[in-house]
Amino acid sequence: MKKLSLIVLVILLVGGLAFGACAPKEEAVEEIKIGHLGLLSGAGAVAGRPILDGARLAVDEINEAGGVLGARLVLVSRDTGGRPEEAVRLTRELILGEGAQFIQGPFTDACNMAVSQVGKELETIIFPYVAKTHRLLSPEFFHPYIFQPSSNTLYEGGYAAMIVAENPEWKTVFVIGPDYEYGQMQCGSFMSKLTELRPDVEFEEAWPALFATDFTPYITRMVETEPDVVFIAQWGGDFITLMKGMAAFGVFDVVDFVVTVGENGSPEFAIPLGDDYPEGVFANAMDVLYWPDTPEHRAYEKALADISGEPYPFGNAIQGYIGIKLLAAAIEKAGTTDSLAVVEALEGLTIDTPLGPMTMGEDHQLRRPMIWGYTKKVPEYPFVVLDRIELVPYESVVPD
Amino acid sequence: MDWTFYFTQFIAGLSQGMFLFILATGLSLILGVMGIVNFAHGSFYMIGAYLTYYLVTLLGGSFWLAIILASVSLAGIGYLLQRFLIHRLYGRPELQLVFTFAFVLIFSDLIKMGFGVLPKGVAYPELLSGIFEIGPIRFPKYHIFIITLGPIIAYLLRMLEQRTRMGRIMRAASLNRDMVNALGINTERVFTLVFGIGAFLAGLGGALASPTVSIALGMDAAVVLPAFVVVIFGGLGSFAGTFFAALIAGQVQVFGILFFPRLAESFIFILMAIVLIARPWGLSNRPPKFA
Amino acid sequence: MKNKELLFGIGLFIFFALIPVIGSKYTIYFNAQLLFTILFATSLNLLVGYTGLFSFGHVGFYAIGAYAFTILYKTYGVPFGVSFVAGPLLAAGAAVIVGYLCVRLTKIYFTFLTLAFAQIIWAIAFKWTPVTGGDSGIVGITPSSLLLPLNNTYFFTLGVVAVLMYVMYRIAHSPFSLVLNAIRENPNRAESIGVNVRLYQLIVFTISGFFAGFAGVLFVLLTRSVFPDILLVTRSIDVVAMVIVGGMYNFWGPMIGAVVLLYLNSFVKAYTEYWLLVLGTLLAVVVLFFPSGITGIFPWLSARFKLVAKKGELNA
Repeated sequence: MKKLSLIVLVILLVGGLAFGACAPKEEAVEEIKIGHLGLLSGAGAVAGRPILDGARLAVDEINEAGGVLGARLVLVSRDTGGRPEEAVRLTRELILGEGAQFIQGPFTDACNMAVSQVGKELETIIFPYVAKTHRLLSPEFFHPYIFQPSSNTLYEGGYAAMIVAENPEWKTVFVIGPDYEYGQMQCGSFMSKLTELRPDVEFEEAWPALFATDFTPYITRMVETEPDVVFIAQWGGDFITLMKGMAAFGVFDVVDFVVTVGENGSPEFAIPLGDDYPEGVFANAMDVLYWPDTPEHRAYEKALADISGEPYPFGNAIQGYIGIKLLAAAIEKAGTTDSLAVVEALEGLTIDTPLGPMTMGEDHQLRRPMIWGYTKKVPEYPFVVLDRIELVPYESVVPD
Repeated sequence: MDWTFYFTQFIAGLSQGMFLFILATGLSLILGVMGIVNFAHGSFYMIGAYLTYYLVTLLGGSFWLAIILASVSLAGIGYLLQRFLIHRLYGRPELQLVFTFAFVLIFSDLIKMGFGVLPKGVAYPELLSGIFEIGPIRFPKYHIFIITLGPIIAYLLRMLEQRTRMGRIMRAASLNRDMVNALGINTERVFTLVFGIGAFLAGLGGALASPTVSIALGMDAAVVLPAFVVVIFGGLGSFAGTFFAALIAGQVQVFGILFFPRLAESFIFILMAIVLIARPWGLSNRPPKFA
Repeated sequence: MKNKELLFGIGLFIFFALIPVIGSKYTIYFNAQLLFTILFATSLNLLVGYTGLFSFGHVGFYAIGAYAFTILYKTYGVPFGVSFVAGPLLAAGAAVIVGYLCVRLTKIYFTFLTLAFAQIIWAIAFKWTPVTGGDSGIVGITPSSLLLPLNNTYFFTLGVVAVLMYVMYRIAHSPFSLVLNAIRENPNRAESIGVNVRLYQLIVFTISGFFAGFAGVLFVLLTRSVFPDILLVTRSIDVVAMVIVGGMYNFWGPMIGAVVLLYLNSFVKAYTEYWLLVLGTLLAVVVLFFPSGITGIFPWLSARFKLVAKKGELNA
């Protein structure tokens, strides 16, 4: 009898757990839920964490101003860890389990591609906050619910090429990028644009593994070939390790110009490098806390510092912020949370951001300008800042 | 590509090898003498790096002092771990394996809680920043320092192994634990000491590596498998074996990248597979008489 | 005991069959995932619990099944039925080769070689972009129109898992499994009574890889995509953790472990980002105090194993 009751107990246990895993929650009518697929662990967390802060800031601001269509915005976040399998599952959990009507995120191109398909299947808007691959909106994968709210590798690699092309004395370029799709696309886009503008330029390529712990073999090749220019597509921890190695080997004394993409000009990457980040490196960022010096931007940075607890707020946060603002403005304009209506409202929509106005194209690509500048050491900050800053519009690199 | 290029690559291989050796040697000790597969070794390395960051960058202390403090702290952590927890799993290697892995997860989140997700950096120590030049060969001073430090550590450990009573006990225990126990020696204490030394060396490895890499979560995973490859390749329980295995592994990595760049992530695992298939007892041991 | 277990199995089947009726869309999805994870974990336990072979590379065969199916079905247009079976068969084929090289080794050497192979397979999946889709994997794998609705995919998964679990159950309760137990306890002694230890290990390794391959294919059918990240070391550890937490000395142990860990994962992640701390602590506690897992708490559940003492109690 004891055994039988135990069997029944186990069946109930298994059943209860499996069934109760996520019953859909009843959502209050006065709420609009946005699911946030975060990147809060692993190598990308340095970018993903501030993005969540930026999103939360936007949600707070909107709610304080009365919400959207009279309803409160609610942000429900989960950590994907940068893993597509997890991202896909969490997308379903957020939409089907938590009742999220829109999805902000994810991050990393592998996750973006995968979650985009889920959005298509469940007819929910997917709004990644950083998506670099131009495959996301390519005809094979395009559908009404996917948007690309950040610049892509065509723009970044392309603009870097345009800058390098301007100096006729630079003829040899050493191109180094992580050996996976993102790195290949950045470097590929850079090299093809530069070849188009300056057919006389010669390239030397290096493809370290993603998350390699030692770049010495590549750096010694850099020193050996003595290129005029070095183009770096490494990001995050890879960028830091690579730059440290390049500093140690004195590459910066040998090379004329170093250019890098992937938001390496942001404070979050300048801080760990400290003095190992030389001056004169041409880098970009989504946002920097010290520019532009407008009241809106200063207010944003102050609020961001408060909500994130960071004395020097990070550059990537603004992508989370802009995404929420865009979605909210589109819902307001559409007058409803119905996905297709919001999609229509998003197309062609212009909103004001701390960096100025930005427009979502009809093709679902945000015309997102990026901040570019040359690194410089200044007394006000314990890390290098970007000097001779320019906000370069998307259209100047990728014509409509 | 002239000879200076290949020679520089060779030196790069030496420096990679020595970084690997310092880390792997602690693992070899733990695995060889105690038979414990310590996945948390990578975590010790990572903690060593983070502690160095804390002491140098946040508290503004001396790099050299920080290294010593960090390594000693790791020895303490290792001691506590072994003395109170791991020793309860005596004789069950699979469970020890899973248990040490559980700690990899725990340490990772503890570090995340304490230091956040932003990568950290440690500046090269003043004494060793800059380039060392001999003729046409240029290499960072710090890496040359590591290349010279490696053999010194190897020598010291070898002396410990061969000339001290503790070393003899360790060698005996790696060959036949029960016999050592039967001879009245408190293997418990030996093991705790060994684990402590192993953790110390891992922490030292992390501390020494801290100026050269981005200090972030995930650095534990990046080093632990190559360390195991080196230990197995060299043969369990032999410092000399680990040393030469590390040297070879370093060169394989560097020259492998040169000739087969697309296989960069795989070299270390291909090496491990080849070693395990062809000569699992490693470089330094003799093949066992019974299969 | 055996009849009661079959009753239990049937009860479970009925319960899972009712899910689409009483559950929400997400519950159906979650349970489909749970089902093939149960299949995967149980297949691993044939190696771990029954034979004492701690394989940390089991995800390799899961992935080969998944990728082989995807490449055959999507890239080359091979009919669904053929692809569905070819995936696991290729996984089994790989298991024969890998197994042959691995079973020559013991204990930790075995573990590390399985790990090395899983990593090599990962590197192939990650780098061989034209074939495997590289780091982004392959998405948009639309199944045959029969499986388009989620409910159909769910029932298909349930059917496949039920059949395969039954097959594994029969294997696990056959004389073959008793030999495996003997090998687990003392390979030398088994050898000395004439058992070809290597051959048995190879056979169970292959069978186990075959079932893991099916789990991989079911993964692709549910998520309509495949990525190299299913091959990460952490995934290998996840499934070993399921076996250990649930209990490796009982056929249903891995299933319990899968249920507990998947549910816990979903639940914990909704409240905190420190899932690793929770999982690590749980694992540490289980290993220290409940090494036979949840099912080990009730000794009579491991009764079949009582005749053969648990590893470690028989000190040579």
